[in-house]
Amino acid sequence: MSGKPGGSYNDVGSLIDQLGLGAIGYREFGKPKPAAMPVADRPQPVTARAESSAAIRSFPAGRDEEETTARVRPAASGSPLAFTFERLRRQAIGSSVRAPTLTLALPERSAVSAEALGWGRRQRTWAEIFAELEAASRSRAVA
Amino acid sequence: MLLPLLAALVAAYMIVATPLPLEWQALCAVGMVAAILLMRRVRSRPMLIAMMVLSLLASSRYLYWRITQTLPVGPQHDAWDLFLASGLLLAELYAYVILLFGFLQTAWPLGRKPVPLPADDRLWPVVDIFIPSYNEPLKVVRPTVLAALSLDWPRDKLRVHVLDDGRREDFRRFCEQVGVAHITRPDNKHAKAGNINAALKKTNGEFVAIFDCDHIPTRSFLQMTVGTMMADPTVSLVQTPHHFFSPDPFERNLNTFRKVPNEGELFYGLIQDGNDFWDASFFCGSCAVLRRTALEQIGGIATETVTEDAHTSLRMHARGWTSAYINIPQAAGLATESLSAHVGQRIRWARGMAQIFRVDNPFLMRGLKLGQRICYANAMMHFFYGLPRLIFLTSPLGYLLLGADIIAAQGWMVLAYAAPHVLLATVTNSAVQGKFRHSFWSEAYETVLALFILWPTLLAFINPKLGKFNVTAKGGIVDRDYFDKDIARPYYFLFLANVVGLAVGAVRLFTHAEHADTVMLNIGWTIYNLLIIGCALAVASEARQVRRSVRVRVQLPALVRIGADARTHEVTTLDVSDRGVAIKLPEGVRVAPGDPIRIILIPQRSDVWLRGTVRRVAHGVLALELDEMNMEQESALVNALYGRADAWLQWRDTRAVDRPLVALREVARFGVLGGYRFARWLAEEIVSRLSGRRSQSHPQAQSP
Repeated sequence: MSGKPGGSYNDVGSLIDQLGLGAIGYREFGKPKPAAMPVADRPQPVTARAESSAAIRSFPAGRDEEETTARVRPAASGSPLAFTFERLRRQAIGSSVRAPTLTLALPERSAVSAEALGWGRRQRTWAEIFAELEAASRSRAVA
Repeated sequence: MLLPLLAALVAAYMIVATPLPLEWQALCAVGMVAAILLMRRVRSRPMLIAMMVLSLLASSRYLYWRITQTLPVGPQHDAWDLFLASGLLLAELYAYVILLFGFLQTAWPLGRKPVPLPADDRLWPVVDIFIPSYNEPLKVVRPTVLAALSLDWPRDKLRVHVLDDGRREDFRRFCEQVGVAHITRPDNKHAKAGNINAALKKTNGEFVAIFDCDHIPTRSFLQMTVGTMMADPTVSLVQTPHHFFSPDPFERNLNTFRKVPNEGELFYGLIQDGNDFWDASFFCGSCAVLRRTALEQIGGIATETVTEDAHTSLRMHARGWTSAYINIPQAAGLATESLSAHVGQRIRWARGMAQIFRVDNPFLMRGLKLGQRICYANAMMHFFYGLPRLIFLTSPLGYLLLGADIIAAQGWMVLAYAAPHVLLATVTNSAVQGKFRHSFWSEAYETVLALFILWPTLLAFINPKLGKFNVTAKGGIVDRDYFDKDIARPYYFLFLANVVGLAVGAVRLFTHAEHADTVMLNIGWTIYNLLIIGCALAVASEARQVRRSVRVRVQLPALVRIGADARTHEVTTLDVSDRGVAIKLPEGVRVAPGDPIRIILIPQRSDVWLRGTVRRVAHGVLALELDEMNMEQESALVNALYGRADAWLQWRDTRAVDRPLVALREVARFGVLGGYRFARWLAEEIVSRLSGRRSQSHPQAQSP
């Protein structure tokens, strides 16, 4: 396998995501120097993106992967091996194990009531009940 | 407001003080236990507090009964009975006070979050990083210095200082090489506290971050802590947890690393968080940031006691400063390597806390709030457990072996009162602190240390000036399996005494036992004690450390090149240490032990190749040993292994939450194991001594 080291790696982003510190406004000082993977026998020159030493980063939950891999993505997108770099870039190699989070948009559970279904409740007196029973028994007898 | 409180107090008094006959007390006990088990199902903070209240009521009821109805006074008892009974009662009162204070301390862990720093980093303050060292080897200190240099902070506002009390030439050369200050002083007065105070005079940063020489910070440490101090000018201290990536002697010798929370987890995971609610989080000597003006106001780090850290924050609190605890592990270090080093460290803490209790008693000191008084007092009084623990381990022997009437009550009645007291406290503690301390392990930890801290705490309490600072040994290894006889010796006698007590009790029970219920109760208590002492003996069986370096299990992206093959492979690590790495072998790659290999850890951030040699290849796993590294390589390794911002976040999450019965089974298993190992060792010792004596009395004839 050859090409640039792919995928994103972001320990600070992981810290912020796991602890819900989206507004912390973390800054990095000290430029990371991503490794260059030589291709076959020919080492590829690396042109890193220039950036300030105090780039402000804020990491809201669910951040865009484009942003996280900005540092390690080579500027030479016109390279014939760009498709390989793109494939590797999409591979996320996390340093922390996290179970996948599923968000199921389930409707809110609510109790179903007869009134809600439009079934009216009619209170009957004992006299009415017995009268109906009597009527029912007479009708059977007739049948 | 007053009326409901009064009504509650009256109700509580009635619950505590109403005497009941055995049947009704048994029903009351069952009711209380059933209630707590039901309450436990509701996971909420108010319910936890309700459980604490119920547990305290049960314990108060037990103690009230003990004091008013079970003391052996009267013509049928003698002074010996009263003496032993008083000892047990005092031990139970101590345990009750610790339980009460503990509940108050942990009633509402604050869970404070880091505060963002100002948007303009030109407003960020200058921070001095202090790394004190005395006799630790340079190889222990190097990673801490390299990680400190990689902290995410403006370079012109970060000053790293190695405070070298050993005044060593290799340290000076190393500091010069990496570009940090090497601060020395002409003497070693007041040990670490004096070392830091001397450095305070030579520096002027607004904040001071202190790391023990083996506590390696993550790169996000300052940004997780300093914001809190900038947002609130009254905050004198931000403390973070002490996290250990190597097993302590309990974890190593019992093989419970990352399965059972270690001894320090309760304090750093819960108690300090609870202290924060009461504004009582205290300085622990490392992994903290302090405000220089607060330190200067109290005259620097306290030097009168050997736990200068807690003493310092006590004084700052008394002056009206506040403190904060950020419960996020942002630094990690080595745990004590051997049981004797562990015991030595705890003796120092116990001595120091007893000294502070004597010199600056938190109940009497001016300027403290009530919550601070309780939290500090509990932290200090916790270390007085030596004598009470010994009393609990020997009390049933007073009845079984000496026939002393320690509790003047029928056995079933004792059970009916004591059972809810013990069970409710166990269940409540499990609910409150189950993530950080499994049930019954407190007894094991305290039993191992009880005999050793008893005398130093007593001495320090009587005369605080007696006692010296013992640096805890770091960086050594246990190079063979052995039974630490020195540590275990006191427990031989305890174990044997309890075995004898058990035997005598069994004989009494199966022959003529007059009070069979009391005998059975004491036998049960003795069996429990034997399991706990057995666990202590199991800890004394030191397990050999297979490797010189501690391996951290972590999945990191890496690039490797193997042998003469120019291809670069993307891999994932399985574990990493300062001397080696284990990786999943890439598919289709052939490699043999002895092949040279190069590796980059986290290639997205680093382009530094580390050189090494393949040591083992098996089952799809390749283990390599790293060659000697230059400074750049060492720094890259330190940053990848220890400096990641999220390096230690998930260690707590991988453990099972406490289940008391499971925990009891585990402790019992170790107890049986420890007892068996001790019995086997004892038999071997007896046999070898006897055979040694026989060969001395009948020497074999020399062959011509």
